[in-house]
Amino acid sequence: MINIALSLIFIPMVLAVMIYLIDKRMVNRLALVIQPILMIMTAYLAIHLFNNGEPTFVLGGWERGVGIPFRLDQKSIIFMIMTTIGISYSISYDWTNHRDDHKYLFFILFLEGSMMAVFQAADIFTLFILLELITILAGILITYEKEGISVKAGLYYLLVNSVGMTIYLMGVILMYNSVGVLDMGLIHEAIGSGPLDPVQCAALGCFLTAFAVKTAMFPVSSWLPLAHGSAPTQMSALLSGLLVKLGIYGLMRFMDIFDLNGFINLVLTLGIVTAIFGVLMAMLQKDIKLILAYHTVSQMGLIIMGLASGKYEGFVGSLLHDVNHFLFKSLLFLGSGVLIYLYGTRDITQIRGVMKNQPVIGLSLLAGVLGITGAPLFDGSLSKILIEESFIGQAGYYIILLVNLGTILSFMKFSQIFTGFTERQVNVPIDKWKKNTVVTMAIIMMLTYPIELIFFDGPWTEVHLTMDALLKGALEFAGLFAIATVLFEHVLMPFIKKHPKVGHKRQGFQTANSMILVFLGTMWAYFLLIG
Amino acid sequence: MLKTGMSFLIFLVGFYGLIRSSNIIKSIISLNVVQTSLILLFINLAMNSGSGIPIVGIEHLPPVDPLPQALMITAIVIGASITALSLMLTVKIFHYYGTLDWHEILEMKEAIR
Repeated sequence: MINIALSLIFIPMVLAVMIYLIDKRMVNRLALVIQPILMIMTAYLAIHLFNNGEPTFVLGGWERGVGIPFRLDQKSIIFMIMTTIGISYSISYDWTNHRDDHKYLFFILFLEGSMMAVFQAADIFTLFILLELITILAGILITYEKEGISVKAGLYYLLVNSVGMTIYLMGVILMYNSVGVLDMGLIHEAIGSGPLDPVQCAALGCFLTAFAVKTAMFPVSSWLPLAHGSAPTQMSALLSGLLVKLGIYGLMRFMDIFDLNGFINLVLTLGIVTAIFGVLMAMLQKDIKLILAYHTVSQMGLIIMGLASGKYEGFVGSLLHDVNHFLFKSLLFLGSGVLIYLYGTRDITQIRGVMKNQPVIGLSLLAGVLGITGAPLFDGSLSKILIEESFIGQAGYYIILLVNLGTILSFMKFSQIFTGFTERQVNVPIDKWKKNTVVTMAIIMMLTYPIELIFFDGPWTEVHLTMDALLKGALEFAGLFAIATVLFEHVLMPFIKKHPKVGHKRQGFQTANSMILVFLGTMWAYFLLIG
Repeated sequence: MLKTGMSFLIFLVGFYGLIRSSNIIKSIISLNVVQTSLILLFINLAMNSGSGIPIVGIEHLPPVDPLPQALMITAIVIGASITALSLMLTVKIFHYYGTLDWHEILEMKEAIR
């Protein structure tokens, strides 16, 4: 069991080194072949976990508190399966170019190994090392094509995230001085259930700031649109689908350590502000990748709201929304990558008539759009309904409806690409690997809906979704769609025409850093004065 | 108190550089200063003047906690690799844009693919 968990980390890493050293096309092919095997191993691990409980084990046979502890639970398994899918498409999407490119395969497989490790680590310092390793690898992969904008975005990403992780390191130091252990479970025991002392409060503020930078919460989100907008397509998809989830995953782990009630309102406020900010910015964008990037911000806000709802439904909803968001956002990014290649532009007003020119890509993208807007019978609706249900009777419910309305509005603008006519030359042949990857992602996304419906009454979760809730969700979607149609014609389009420059300013590097400091200060002030 | 205060001062100096300087090289140096301040803080907090080095059989004093030093050497390695990568990217940026100013670089619009 433990051997399988560890080989999930080391198989990709060893293979990465092998590919780098041997550099033959035959060996490079292994990078793609290994992915289904890793998926099966993860599934086996999931079954084992379900039968025998969630284990914590220490590397090298040391005692708890001395060696490096690893912990496998429901969350890790879900994120690990997402990792295998994500790495598979980021290899296969550009396989024609990358099958002889041993350097790219080295970095992406090493990234996979470290992702597998980060989802098992149960030690705050190991988490720090692995998060930094992932930041470095992602920085290399963003700048992989070495064009001006991607180098710029990569450096911005690397430095802002390093500042965030430096603050995480400060949290580790404060925590170690207060408690004397690094193991998450032992920290939980040492803290107990009483109120935190000031040093622990300060450490918690540091951790929250670091995860806010990783998740791109509102004031510190400036790296996300820049990096997502300028990375190679498959890296944009991976960043948006998987790498921003690292912050969410860290938040989930730290909610296990600390008692949630102390800071639930704070996290909830952050989630609400992030969701609204992301959706407002997304409505104003014209660049196809930036629209998707800002939607990542708003969906992260929804996930954080679900985590902070304080109910089990909300937690399951946000865990599921991680998976669903990963699937549809990857699909949308990969599909729009094909469109950018096809039309030679990223301006959404220039791309028209996708359904006529490329019906397969068009239908896949349409499935992604329906997924993200939470249309009934698509996977996004289930998790959105769950998060909504956990807020019934509170102001949060209406805020989620508002965010949904904004999402539908801005994807109406996005959906204009499907019809119409453009003068552009679109007869470029599409690579078959790209097309197949997009279609496969669409099929996986469509299959998720029934799987998740079974999952609700399954043994892993006690949440039941009634038919009434599903019907209510469908009715809400219809109502919001009707409102959005009116708003789209009479408010959004005139506004964009009148103020074309709003929402396009790039936040400077210094501003981003001062935002991080302000965020940290706010956290500390909250914990020391109010919490 | 003095130990913490010193590190806090260096931390603020580093963060001041991150917030105020618009030069990429200076930003990277400031990040290094911030990391150094944290390393100093951790090593200092773990040290007591009455204890010896944590190696068995050399001194008879009670040993100092060795874990902070082990952790910090890892943090130093990570900091060095981040610095190396960002300096490499800075060279690329200079070749491409001809400037190292964050404002100018971020405001430049390039042809999008």
